[in-house]
Amino acid sequence: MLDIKLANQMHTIQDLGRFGFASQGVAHAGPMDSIAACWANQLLRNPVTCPMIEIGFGGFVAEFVEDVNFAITGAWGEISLDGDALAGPGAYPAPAGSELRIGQLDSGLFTYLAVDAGFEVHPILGSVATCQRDLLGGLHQTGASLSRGDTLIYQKTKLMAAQLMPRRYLESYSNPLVCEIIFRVTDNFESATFDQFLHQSYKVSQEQSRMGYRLHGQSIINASSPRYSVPIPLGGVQITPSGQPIVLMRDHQSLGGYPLLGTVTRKSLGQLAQRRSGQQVSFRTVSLDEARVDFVRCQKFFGDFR
Amino acid sequence: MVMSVLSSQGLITWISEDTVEICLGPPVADQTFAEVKKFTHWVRSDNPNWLIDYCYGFGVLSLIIRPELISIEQISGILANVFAESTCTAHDESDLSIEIPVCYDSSFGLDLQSVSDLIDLAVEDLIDAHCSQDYRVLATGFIPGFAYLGETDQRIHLPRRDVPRTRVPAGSVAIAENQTVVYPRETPGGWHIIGRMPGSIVSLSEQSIDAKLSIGMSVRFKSISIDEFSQIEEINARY
Repeated sequence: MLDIKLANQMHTIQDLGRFGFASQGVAHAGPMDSIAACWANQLLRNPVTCPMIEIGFGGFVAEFVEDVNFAITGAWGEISLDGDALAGPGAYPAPAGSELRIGQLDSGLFTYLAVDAGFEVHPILGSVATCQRDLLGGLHQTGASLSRGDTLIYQKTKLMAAQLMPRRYLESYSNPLVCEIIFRVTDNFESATFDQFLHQSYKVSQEQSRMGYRLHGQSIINASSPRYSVPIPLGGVQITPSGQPIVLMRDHQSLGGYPLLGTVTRKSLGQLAQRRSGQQVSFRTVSLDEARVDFVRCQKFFGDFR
Repeated sequence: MVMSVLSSQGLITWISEDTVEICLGPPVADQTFAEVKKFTHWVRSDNPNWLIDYCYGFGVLSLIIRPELISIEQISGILANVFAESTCTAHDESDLSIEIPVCYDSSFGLDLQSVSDLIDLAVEDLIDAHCSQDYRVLATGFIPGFAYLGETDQRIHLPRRDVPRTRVPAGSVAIAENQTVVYPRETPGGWHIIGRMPGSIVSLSEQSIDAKLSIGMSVRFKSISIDEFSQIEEINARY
């Protein structure tokens, strides 16, 4: 059992997401940085679908009531087990009674916590993923985030030696991000608009949520007015009437009317999700083929990937 | 690799690593709904392993797929066959017509008066225009159970509210542009509220979500008094 001692609204239970109900308006949800999330299960040799905790913006304390191995990945900062700082993303043994503390973060926004065989959480519509806007998922199936006093069930396991995540896979979320985008040809933007978009740098604004990140650039992009609402993709870059982009994140609504400039690749989307307001982002175009090769590689490596 | 394929049904475009988009036709054309019906019928009977999810809205169908299992050329081929069928004769929920009772009392129709002023049409005429025609479900989405119905009488077309409400009560019936909607639950929203339906438009169980309205369905609103509204609510509460 994991006993939550300190949590905030951005601490939620997630799995790969809730699929099969989009036609009824149900968001897919799932981890903001799916690569870091999949790594947490991978380090424990769990199936990739095991429920885990997404810890946004730090400020998390919990006690492992029974022996278990846990993995912690993604955003990093003051992270300790019983007062001893953890060396970095990896898998660690947690003896019964030990306390995990995640304080201030230095790099990134979302930390992922998995345990051997996953937390035992009851799914709703086939998934435990918490979606606050749909009131679905989480510990009580209601979309509520974790809070102090919540207890998550897991199976006690034999403790193993700590094992750090391979260095070559570690990501730093502090440097400026070059985000890969697959341009969209059907929304009638002029080619000069694509050039303008590629040649300027953006800052992540304070308007960032699990639904989307609004970016802010110096020059404004001319976009046609909203049209009929049509299905919008994860990672889609919407141009709002203000001329600034919004990148659609995991809890985005299923339909939207703003014109779309393109779609951020899934790998870059996780890296963007880890950027906090004020950080710099620019874009580079990639072909669909390149993006697909990366994506399929992740699917094979982790067992599945969304 | 080809990014988009032009077929007789429209443009099939690959828009991200795992998402494909198909333009089925104009948002309110009968033929477009016939294509949607063929597609949903095929999904239910074939349940293809490469299809993870799909979403439809206003003429556009979006598929989430497993790119390791299928190419866009293969998808084009499969869908060409699906759409090549003559009309789908199987009956499904899109063939249903349903009637939704609505109470247009001013205590529920929070924007009745302001809409009436904006479009220069008496409140009674506005209500009459809203509940004396059949609508079609043009799209579902936004939040679970939310359905976009159209098209409304030209006399009651108007832009959305300048300032969206932070809380629209569950069951609110609202209009904007050339459409009308029912809010399945309390949420922020920018449509003009003209009435409220008793009961619930969506129900949820562990395995499924059951929305009363689905794509293509025919819907008509029936004006009820505030007493009838209370009676229906009371019956719903008892059962």
